[in-house]
Amino acid sequence: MLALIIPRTALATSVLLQHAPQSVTGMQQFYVDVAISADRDAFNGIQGEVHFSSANLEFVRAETGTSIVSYFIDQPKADGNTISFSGIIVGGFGGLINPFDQGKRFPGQILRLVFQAKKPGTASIFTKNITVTKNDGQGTLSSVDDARVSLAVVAGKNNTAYSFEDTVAPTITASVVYEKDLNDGKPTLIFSAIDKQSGIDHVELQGKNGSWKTIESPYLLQNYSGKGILSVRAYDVAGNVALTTVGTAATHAVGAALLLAAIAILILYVIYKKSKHKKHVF
Amino acid sequence: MLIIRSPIFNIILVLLVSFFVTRGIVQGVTVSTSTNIYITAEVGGGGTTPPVPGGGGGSSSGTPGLQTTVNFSGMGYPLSKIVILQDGRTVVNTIADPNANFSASVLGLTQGTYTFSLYAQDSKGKNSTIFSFPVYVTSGTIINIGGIILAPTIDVQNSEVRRGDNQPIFGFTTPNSQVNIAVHSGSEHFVTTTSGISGAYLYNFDTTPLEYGNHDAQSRSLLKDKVSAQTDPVPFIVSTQNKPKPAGCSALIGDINCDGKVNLVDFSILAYWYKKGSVPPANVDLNADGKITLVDFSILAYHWTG
Repeated sequence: MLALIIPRTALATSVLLQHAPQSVTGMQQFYVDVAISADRDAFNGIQGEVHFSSANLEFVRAETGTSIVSYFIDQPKADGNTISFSGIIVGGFGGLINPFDQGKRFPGQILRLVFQAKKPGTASIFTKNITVTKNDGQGTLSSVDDARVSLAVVAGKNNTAYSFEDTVAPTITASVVYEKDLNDGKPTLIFSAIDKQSGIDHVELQGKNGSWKTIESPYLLQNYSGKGILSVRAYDVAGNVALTTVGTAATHAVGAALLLAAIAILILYVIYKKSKHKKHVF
Repeated sequence: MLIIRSPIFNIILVLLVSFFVTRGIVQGVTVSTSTNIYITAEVGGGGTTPPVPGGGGGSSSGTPGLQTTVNFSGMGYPLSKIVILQDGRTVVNTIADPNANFSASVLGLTQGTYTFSLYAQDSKGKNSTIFSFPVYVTSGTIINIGGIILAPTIDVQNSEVRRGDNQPIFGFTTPNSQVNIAVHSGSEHFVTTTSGISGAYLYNFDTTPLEYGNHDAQSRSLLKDKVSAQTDPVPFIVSTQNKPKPAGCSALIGDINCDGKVNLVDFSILAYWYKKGSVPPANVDLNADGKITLVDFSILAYHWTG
């Protein structure tokens, strides 16, 4: 048994762009991890942007499976050459612990950004306006220095697509709520989908005609009477799917329980009547 | 708890870590308040060296077939509810024993990064501050996180107290423990009391030496060589009148819909007003600045109960 007593190592809060290749060939897909290291003053909220050279690179997708973010407020989304995001970390983040290497705290990954090389030249990827909130109950804002990486896009063609080996289905929980401060108390679907491998790609709701529609939480349910089962499914980036149903499943369970109770009462009544009848006979 | 018995699981790596925190001051004397949280990690034979977090690719290591598990153990309050959150979602509800000890396991994890958070709820329904633990879990391993001493709960009887009157400061912690209470004001005041067998403690704090204005109280407990985490500060005002603390859901910050929890529903309400962009209702705007921003979400995340 190996036993070590190691003091906690402090890290300054800084944003990192990790695993960027030095050069890529045209059409080649690669990823860059947006990560953050943290000191003792843990943070629990983060927002910011990642910019990239759109002349040389094409944004393919953002993966969140290995993210330390518990809930994204703004799902990572690209607009032109800017990918913006925001989210919270429940409990805060003060550095990641690897039980097999406890001598230091590791950075936590926020996003994995997948790009595809386009035009030859020097491409840049850099963060901007990264802000974190301290895990102090006040939401104290703190800015973080930006990070930048450069890579060469060389002429040629490499059709290698980046993919994350993932055969595990995501998990999803969903419920219908009626809250006065949410869509004026109208029925609203809220859900939480997690996938620890490739990350959630999208979530769909099945309509009355059987078709599926991509939705975001919270989602206002138009013309929802509170009856009938709502089917919600989550896809991860690798295409694995998880399905859940909400709405009246519980109502059915209650109905079934009531029916069983009624049958039981009826049986007891019949037994009672029969026994009474027997008493009269003897 | 999963016990490895097969000889195949003969490669065991155990590492211990301690977090040394030196913040507590008791009656003017600085004391070492190390919270001796330890981690042990075990991986079965046939596994490869566990990868560094954040590394590329999606390969897993460890022992195929061995259920990936994280075990937690520590102390809350006698018979208190212990809640474990995994990335903000409640995964375990358990009860501490009469001596305040608890142990619980989260099973069937896949490889990845997890933030586990624990808190205790006392018999009055008040929650401790959250103890949080971001950890990288390798597939096919068992991680034991022990020695967790959850923070006491703390409350005051009056939101406003007349100067010279006593301000009852109370809560729950480990049983038969020394409870150190700090009242922060212009100059800090430190007092000590002892918790009973139920974990309850009470100190009638004489407010005579306090200035008029805002103050707050915090506590932590010492049980033999074990030191708890510190509570969040609970505020009160010293004035010319006594005013009891208001009851109701306002006591739980972030509980926007007043259901006694701070969870996805409250997050969804914030997200709704954040996306709407209009002036939110006062109960939704957690920092009262007239808009919903990351700051409001941060306050919500801090008080999250799952």
